[in-house]
Amino acid sequence: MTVLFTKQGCGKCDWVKRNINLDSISGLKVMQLGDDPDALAMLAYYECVSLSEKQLPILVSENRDIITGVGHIRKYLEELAN
Amino acid sequence: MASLIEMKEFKKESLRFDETTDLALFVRTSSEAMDGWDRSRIVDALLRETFIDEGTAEDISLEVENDIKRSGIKVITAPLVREMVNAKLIERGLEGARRLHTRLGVPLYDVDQLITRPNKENANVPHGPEATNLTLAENIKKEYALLNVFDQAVGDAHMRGDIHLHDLGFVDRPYCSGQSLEYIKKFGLNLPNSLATAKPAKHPEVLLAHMVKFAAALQSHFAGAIGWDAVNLFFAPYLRGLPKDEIRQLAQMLIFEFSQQAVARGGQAIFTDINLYWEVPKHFENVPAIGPGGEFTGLTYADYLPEAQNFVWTLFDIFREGDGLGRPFFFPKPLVHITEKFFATPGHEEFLHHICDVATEKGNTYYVFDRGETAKISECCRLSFKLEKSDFDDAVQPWKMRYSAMQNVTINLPRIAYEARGDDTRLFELLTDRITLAAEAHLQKKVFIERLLALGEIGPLALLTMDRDGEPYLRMHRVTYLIGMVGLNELVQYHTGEQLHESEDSLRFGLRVIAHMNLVAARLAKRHRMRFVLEQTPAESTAYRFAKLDMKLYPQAQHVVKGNLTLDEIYYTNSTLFNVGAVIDPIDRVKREGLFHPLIEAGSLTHVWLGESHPSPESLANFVVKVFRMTQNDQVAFSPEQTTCVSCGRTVRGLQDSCPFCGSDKVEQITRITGYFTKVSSWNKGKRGELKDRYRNGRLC
Repeated sequence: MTVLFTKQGCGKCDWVKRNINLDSISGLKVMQLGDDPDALAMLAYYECVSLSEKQLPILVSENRDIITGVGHIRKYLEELAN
Repeated sequence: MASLIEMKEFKKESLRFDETTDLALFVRTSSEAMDGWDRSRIVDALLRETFIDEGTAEDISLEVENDIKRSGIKVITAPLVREMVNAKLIERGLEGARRLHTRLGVPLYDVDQLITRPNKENANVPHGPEATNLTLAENIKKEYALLNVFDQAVGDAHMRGDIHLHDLGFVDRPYCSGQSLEYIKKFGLNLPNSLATAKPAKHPEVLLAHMVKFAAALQSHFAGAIGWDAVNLFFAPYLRGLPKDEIRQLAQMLIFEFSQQAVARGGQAIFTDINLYWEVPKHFENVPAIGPGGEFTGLTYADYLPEAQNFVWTLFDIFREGDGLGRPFFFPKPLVHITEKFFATPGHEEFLHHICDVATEKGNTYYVFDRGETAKISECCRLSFKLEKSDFDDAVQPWKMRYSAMQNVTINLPRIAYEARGDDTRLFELLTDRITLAAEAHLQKKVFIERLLALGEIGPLALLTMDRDGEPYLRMHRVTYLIGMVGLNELVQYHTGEQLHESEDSLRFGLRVIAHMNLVAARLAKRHRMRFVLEQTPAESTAYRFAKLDMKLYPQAQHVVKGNLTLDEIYYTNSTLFNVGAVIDPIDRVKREGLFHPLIEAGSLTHVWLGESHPSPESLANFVVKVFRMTQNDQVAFSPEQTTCVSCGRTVRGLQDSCPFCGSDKVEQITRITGYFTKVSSWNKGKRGELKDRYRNGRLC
């Protein structure tokens, strides 16, 4: 499973949501941080809590690579969609 | 305090029992004077302490007097009179008045037990007259706290074991504190109510004396640990030009001063933590250094790196040697901060080897991992104060960097699982309720402490109100309120059928629980404008207390409780730790337990139990680097086990029942309990059970 961590009010997260058709990517789970304990728990499970304080969105690939930066995330998701 | 109360009989011929003034009762009161019987005292007490009307008070006093007359009692105690009055209040349905009229005290039998037997609630309390005084005072204050500081809902939840209010016996003070040597370097030792004032120290040994005395004064005003930030760095300006042997002597004095018993409260050693750095932390680099006489030296702390490094190296030389019998020092606890800058500072490999050598030999070293821009002051068993932007601003005036946790309230997690009966929604609902209750307890303690602080210099917390730098020593705006947890492993085990280490699903469920706690605490913090933060509760006695209570009240507890049920050596696993007996590769344990640490702002720790094994300093150093680079773990400590022979004075590896050299069975087994070294003989039953279960990591990598 690939997980995309986003947060409300995060401009880059909004950009990713606006410009990539996330619904069309199978196996992608989008989690919104803030008040959701499941999202925070998953973030901790992937060892990204500290990272999320500095940058979002964060994409964790199926083989647990951690990808940040909207360009990299977009590229990865586009490849995944194809 | 009232003690024995006697009632004496006057000569019979002089008695007129229908006249209270002649009643042949003498009562020894709180002032220890023998006072004649006077019924009006009952009335006075009822009017003063409760809100009942005078007529009812009169009636009650008359009834009590008549009961006494009729009983023909020869010896009476003031507590007995008070209880007779309480019985009358209950008969009238005046429960609230009875509560207000409660007399706090300790049964004679209990006092005898306390005087003759050691207290094992806290392994850092020795057995002696001062310790007995401490325990007795704690018992009274615990009762006071439950009746007069916390409301009934909070008090009952504590008594039932839903939550645990830590250090109730120290309810009239905050919990732990972290501070800077710069305060006494700049202002000297100028304490309220002190018989003498000392100007800022001009010599290093005087600075040390001030530090020790201030620590003792602070111990009297805080329930728990006293931590000091960057000790080697802040001593450094006093050390320039000093010969090696004098620095060694100073290091030796520092460690012995803080390690020897019977120096302060209840004969306890002061629970002292010293934060140490190989590098100069970034936030202190450009800070003007304070030197002898409290004067700025004209240099910054970055200029004192060689002296700071020399001092910290020497401190670990002393830790390596151990005490007079070669045993590890129990205090002060040396906490070495491992940062990116640490690895960029020349000599770090040698220093890491040095502190790992101490860790493998004696176990003293704690490794605190400050990754990225993180900086913190650590103390207690694992508590830490994470520095924020305003703290980095304060760093320019480091004496301002003093932090405190007001109180720790721990939640009994396994009980929530029993009550939820496998229902996720119910489980998280109950968890939210308990956290809300913990927050309520914090609010009540805050109100009480603020009431004491408002008394200022004439109040009991005068020391915390002193304002040498323009603000009170206890900076309430920077106080944290700790919410702890015990038995996450057993909650998960009961709820999911697997322990934390047994599957990825159970691990993820454990993370959900802690994430939920984190978010609820944050929400309540916002609502109340108080810093509610999670901490891994050390739970030296709480893990035992919760397990005992649950075994009594929840039969299902027997399926998950740990330890030896037959011997009553039972416990819950501490905080978010994995089962201590689980056979897990140590780096895997550190990594997986570390997943929880970023969710627990106020401090976490993973233990690596070494047992008798004796890994090389190189392998420990490799392990530490791996932990820093490859995990999220906050803090690691390696714990060897040792035995000291009281007869021949030798210390050997492992927990031995007799001395392998002289055969004596007078031995002291020593290892780490929750977050500090101590003698196993002083441990409570639950912790003794845990010790037997611990999986020792013979090989590290």
